[in-house]
Amino acid sequence: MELSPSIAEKHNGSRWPFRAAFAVAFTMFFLIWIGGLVTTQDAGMAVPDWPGTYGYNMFAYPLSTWFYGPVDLFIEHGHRLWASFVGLLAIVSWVIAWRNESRPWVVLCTFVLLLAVIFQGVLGGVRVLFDAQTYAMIHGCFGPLCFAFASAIALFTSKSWHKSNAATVTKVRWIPRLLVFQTCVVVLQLFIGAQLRHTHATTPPLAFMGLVHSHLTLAFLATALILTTSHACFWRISKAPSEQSRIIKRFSIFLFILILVQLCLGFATWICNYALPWADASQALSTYIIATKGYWESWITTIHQATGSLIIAFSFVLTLAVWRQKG
Amino acid sequence: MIAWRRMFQINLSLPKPQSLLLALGVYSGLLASMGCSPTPASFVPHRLMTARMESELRADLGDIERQSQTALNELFGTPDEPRWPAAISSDPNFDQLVDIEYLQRAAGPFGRKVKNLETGLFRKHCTHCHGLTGDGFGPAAALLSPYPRDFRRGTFKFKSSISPSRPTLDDLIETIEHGVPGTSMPAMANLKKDEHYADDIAVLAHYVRYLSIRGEVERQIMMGLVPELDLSAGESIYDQNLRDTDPAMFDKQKIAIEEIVRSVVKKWSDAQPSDVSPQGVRVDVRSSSDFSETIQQEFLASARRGKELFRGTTAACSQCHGEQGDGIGKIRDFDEWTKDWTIRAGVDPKDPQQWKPLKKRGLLKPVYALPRNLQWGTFRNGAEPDSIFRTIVNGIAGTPMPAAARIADMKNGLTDDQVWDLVNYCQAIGIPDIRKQVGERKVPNDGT
Repeated sequence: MELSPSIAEKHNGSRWPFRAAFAVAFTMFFLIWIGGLVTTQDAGMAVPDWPGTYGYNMFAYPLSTWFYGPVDLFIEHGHRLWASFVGLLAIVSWVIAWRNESRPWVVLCTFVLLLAVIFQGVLGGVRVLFDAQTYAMIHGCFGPLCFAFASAIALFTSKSWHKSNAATVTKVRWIPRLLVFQTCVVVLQLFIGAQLRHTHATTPPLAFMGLVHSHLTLAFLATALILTTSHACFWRISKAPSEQSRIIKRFSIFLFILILVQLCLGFATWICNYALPWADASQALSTYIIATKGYWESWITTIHQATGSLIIAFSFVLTLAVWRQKG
Repeated sequence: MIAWRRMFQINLSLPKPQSLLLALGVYSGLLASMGCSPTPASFVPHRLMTARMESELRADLGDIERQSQTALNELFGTPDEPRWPAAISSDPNFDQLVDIEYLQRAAGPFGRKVKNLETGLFRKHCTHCHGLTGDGFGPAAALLSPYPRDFRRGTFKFKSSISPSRPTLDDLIETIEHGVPGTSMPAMANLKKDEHYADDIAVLAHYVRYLSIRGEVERQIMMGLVPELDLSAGESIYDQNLRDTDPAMFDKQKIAIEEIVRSVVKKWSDAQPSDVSPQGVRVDVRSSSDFSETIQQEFLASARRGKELFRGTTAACSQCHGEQGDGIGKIRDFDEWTKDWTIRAGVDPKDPQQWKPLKKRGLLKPVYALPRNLQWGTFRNGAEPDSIFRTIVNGIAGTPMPAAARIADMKNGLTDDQVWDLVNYCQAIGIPDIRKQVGERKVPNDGT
């Protein structure tokens, strides 16, 4: 598959492929939030059957029971309904691309995304039917990868991608390579984060400690990489006069901000779940009490996970944008 | 590099369906190796106890440990299917101790498998720190300070009953509901706000009681029965083969274990909150309605007397809590959970070379039980005057904090008035404005 289209590539002018792709990516990000909330609230098995809901057709499940039932059931059933909506949008996106998109590889991408969304749905179902944490973890990892791919399709169909040409902008070859490495690191960070979130009750403390240390090490490595690449993209690539450069500039700023926010969120997530091990260091720490399933506790943990997905998507998209322009 | 290229070419040369099948096969194999469904959960044997007994008796107790687990599984079931010993459930004295329906709701993997009723509450809220067995050896345990409680000793720090006795159900509910400040133990009060989760805290309290009783029985079997065996003659504690070959011996073994169960359960059944003496100056400084001018003067006078007692030789609080109540005293000691597998097993907790081999048996790095910095006004056993009174007179089980010497027990012990003076001093130094009025200075660098 050719990811870097030729300069002569024609654009038929329709904005619908982009709108549809953007809608898929946007709704998918919201789906990742709800999915994160499912894990935070331990709601994965709140509905024990699949694809139905307590024997009902998923779409015919009574609203009163859904809205006024337990929170975990509300979240899990909502996650399923929203996922169905995303699946529908993925179909729409593929049809629109098929009818309006002149580049076959973009049409293929939308089709692959549709397959990925269906696979992710089945994976969610398998997680429920087998009641297995391992599948929950794979489901939790595959979602952000789908989101990154959906974001990439939105980039391919965007106006700026069409407008810009693929002329060489930078000859700094290490930047695209470092971006690829950075994307791999943040994806690996996702896998480790997912393991921390889906730890089995019998996991030995030393194994868990190893995961936490790996997560911390990769967090610092990812931060160093993102700070370096953002700086390089901003000062060395984005100054070139091209439409693509504008996107690169934006994405590098976003990534820079996101990684700083993510570091703070990671720290807050640990405090919300485990408190700090130095309670005697200050009065504030000595009086702090964690609230189980508390409002802030739940949201901070979920936002940390969602921001991680956003970082993967931005890193991937930035890598594609820069890779296209490498000399 | 060439080899990689060759491999790549070989893969590419495969026809597409074959490639897909290969990928599918590899992926399925990967998933199969991870396991498709949850394996039945089982309780973990008390390996540290076995190690201690092996060290004392100089014998391999692997078979005895297995027999003990068999007996425990027959009596108490598994983490997925808990059971309450038949001998106890038919006894009217003990049948209210643990609610079987609650046990079933707390056990198993979490979810709503039956009639929309949530089960697996212990795994949802507790195992991450306390472990499936309640051994305080959950996945996150090594990273927490203080370490999560090991229920199997039957020792609980925060309770209203006298130090050696077990906590009441209300004590467990109190800790689960309000959490423990400055630790990783969360407050689950949020659950009570939603009608769908309103009784979850009680469910967990019953399950904690069940795990604790199971663990204590396991401990007593190893500590009480095993030393009496003639191991060289091949004696056993619960050999199922004897059921057919020597039924009388088998019954004897069964009865011995059931007696242990009864004695453990009785301790839990006997637990009662201790009395709080009405004699003395009882003031809640956190309640503004309590603090009129007259009461304030009475309180300050009492707190000043408490200050002298705090530093005196009878109460001797300052030995650990420091002259200023800042937690910087002269004495440092380990808690009972640590001492069980170190000092009492002949292992020096300060020497890593000695305790490190026990890590694979479930020992976490020994750490000191630090005295509370009272200047922060954080009382983990409750900040109400009655709770502080109980903490002083009962001590904190499992820690170096002893029960106060009282006049009822010894000639130069404390009177109830004097205990209230200590209570008031503890309250006073926790609030900066009042601390100054009892002539106490703030600790430099905020007490660190």
